[in-house]
Amino acid sequence: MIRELLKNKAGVVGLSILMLFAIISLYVVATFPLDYGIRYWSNPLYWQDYPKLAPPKWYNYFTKTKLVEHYVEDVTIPSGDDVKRWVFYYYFDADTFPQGVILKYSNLTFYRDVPIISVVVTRPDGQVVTLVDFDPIPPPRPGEGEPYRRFVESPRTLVLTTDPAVVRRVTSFVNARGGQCTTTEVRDRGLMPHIIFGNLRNSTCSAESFEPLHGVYVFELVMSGGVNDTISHVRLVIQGNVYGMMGTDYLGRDIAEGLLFGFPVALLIGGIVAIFATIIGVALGIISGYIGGRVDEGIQRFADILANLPTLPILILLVFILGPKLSNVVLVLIAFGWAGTTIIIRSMVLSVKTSVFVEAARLAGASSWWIMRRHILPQILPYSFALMIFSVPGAILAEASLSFLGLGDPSIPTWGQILQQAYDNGALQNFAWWWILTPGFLIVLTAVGFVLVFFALEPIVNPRLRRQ
Amino acid sequence: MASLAKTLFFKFLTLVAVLIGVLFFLAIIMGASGLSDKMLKAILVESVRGYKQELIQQRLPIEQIDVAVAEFNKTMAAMLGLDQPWYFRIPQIIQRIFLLDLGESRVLQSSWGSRNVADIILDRLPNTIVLTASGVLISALVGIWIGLYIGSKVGSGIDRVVSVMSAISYAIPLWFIGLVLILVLAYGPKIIWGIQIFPPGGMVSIPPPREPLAYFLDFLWHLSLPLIASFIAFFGSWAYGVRNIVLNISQEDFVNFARAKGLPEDLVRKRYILRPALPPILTSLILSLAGSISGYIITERVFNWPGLGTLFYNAILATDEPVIFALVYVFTLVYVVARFILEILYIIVDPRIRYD
Repeated sequence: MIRELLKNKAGVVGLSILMLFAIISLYVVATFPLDYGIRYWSNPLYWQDYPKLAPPKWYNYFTKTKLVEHYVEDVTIPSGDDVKRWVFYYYFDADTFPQGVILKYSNLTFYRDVPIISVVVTRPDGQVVTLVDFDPIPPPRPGEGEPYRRFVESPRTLVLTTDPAVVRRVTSFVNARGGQCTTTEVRDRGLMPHIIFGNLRNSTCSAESFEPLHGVYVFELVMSGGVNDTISHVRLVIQGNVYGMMGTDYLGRDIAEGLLFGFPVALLIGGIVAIFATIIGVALGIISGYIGGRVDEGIQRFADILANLPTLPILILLVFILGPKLSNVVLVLIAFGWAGTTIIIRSMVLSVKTSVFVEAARLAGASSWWIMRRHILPQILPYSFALMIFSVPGAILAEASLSFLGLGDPSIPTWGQILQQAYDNGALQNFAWWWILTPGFLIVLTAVGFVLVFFALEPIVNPRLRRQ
Repeated sequence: MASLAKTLFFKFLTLVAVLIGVLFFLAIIMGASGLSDKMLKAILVESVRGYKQELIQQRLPIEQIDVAVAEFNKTMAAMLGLDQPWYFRIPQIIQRIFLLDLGESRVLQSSWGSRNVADIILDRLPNTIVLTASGVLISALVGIWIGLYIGSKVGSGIDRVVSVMSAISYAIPLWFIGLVLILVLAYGPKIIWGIQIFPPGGMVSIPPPREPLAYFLDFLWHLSLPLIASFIAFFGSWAYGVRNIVLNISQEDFVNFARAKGLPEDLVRKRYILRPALPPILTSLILSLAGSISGYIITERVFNWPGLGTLFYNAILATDEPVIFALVYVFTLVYVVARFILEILYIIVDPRIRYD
């Protein structure tokens, strides 16, 4: 069967898509934590350092203006003894300005006196700007013994772009060089990166009046205190305008990660629904076709009604009542997904039933159960398999539709949910194409893969088509 | 004629069974989830309050009022069926859903501010029917026309284009095509060049134009993008399906005979190919109906079209249960009615059923 499938071009394309998806899913299952959705994806704090609504890195190849890439650097070893310096060299060569600058440090240990911590940047033109000259550190509490430790659990985060003291300092820096800015303007328009990374072209205080100053910027975190006072970890984040393979969304989430996690979820939803709906459908189809009479009538009328319903409204209602959990979505999809299979399988069983070997088995005294299992099931199994493949994309699309209506499981990111969040949080208005097109494209590609395999399988497994 | 009536009657019965099945199903969910109790209690509280107000205005002594109100409360509860568990009330619940007598919504309102569920639904229903009917009809008509044309030119360039488009129809959902179109044709030109080619959503501009003609044009402008999306989503499968039917029929002996007689190709196509092709085409229209109605629920939300689909989303957002139940029922009803109209059409175009 597989050899015949590989002769068909559509089959090869479909199979390779599905193989690729399966490999990606295995990789994700092996590397991502199972509670990724709750722990990371739906936790805005985890993504606060990331740039917001940034297009993918490779977007730079298609634009004339070079956008700032995201920059994260960790320094653990300081230079100097009494006055320790953690030094970052940042090479800036983009035509736009970064979204923001964040400095973090953790595990501050000191003896006796509270150390004085300041942050200084030296620009390529030699200008030195003191951004922070005295970062307040909680002094020793009564009864607390040496050494005093601070910022162990969560690091001290200095959001330099919006910090009032920093804004005041950079405002006076730019005004000393001919600018006419107020601190409110600098804060509200987010001009701190422009002032640090650029020169004024004219004195109006807007983003357009700055031009970027290229070169090496030296950021230093300076700590003056005792010889034994240390900080274990300092991180400088310069939030770019482009990020990663797939860009980021409005919370700064790396869309590539969410999309990756969506692979196994989509295959799982589609797979489970298809397998169980097909099992139910085939079983009822065989019973209905072989036993006939009232049983047949009952099953077929019921299947008719189910197959004749606009299912989405009922899916919406049931998931709404049961609660938006992935297991509920899957259950409901199974409950409404078997009818079509039953109708098709029954008609196949009716023709198999009249064949000589079934007749012979019955004359030899085989029970109905035996005949259904040993003589009829093997005949229709290949085609059932094809039907199962065909029903996978329907389930994935249905889940995406439900997610898009706000009925997705909030603890597990799916492609449909990423699309829904994109739609609800202004991806269209901001022309964030990377946030809309990729999840939709993946949904479509999955569907195409399964449909192509089905088209290639059908003439092989359908006896009616094979005869022609 | 007798057989015609019989066929129609059986189709009708099946569709009524579908409707009753859905009603029964809705009634059970409504009862079991306690929504029915909640709804009836709201009605009870409302009428008891009204009764009490009335008595107070008659200046009766307070003890007498309390006794009367308690009595009224009891009879009213019995009348509504609240003194029994929900499963005894299923016929009543079915009747209420059937007549859309579902009381007031929790939050949602109709455009004129009514909170009556039936009002809210009827307010939106025409918008949905316009969008769905025009979308399905345009893509079907153009698809049938092109399909008839390429059915006799299998293997040509346009035939290959249509084959690819039919594959697209299988895989890409209508609402995603809508999203891409809004991104590329509505927001894209506006953000990049500053021109608004297509509106990003809605049914009319805000504020709507005063003049009737301007209003209508504005409406068409808003309708155009959803229609293009429907066309891309459905056209391919239509044209391809019709092409296959035409291909099969044009190999039949009677078509060859008509050609051999020397009839003009146009006449052969119209009378000998289109006529026998119509019934299977209608069958596929009937089969695709349920899918397209479902597809438009999300498409309406994408285009912010003020129809039942958007209402569905708003009802989910506001957890407005009565509206959700009413919507499920109305969608089934619309489907059943549309199916029945198509079945009648089917009988008209297929003489084999009529003169059986």
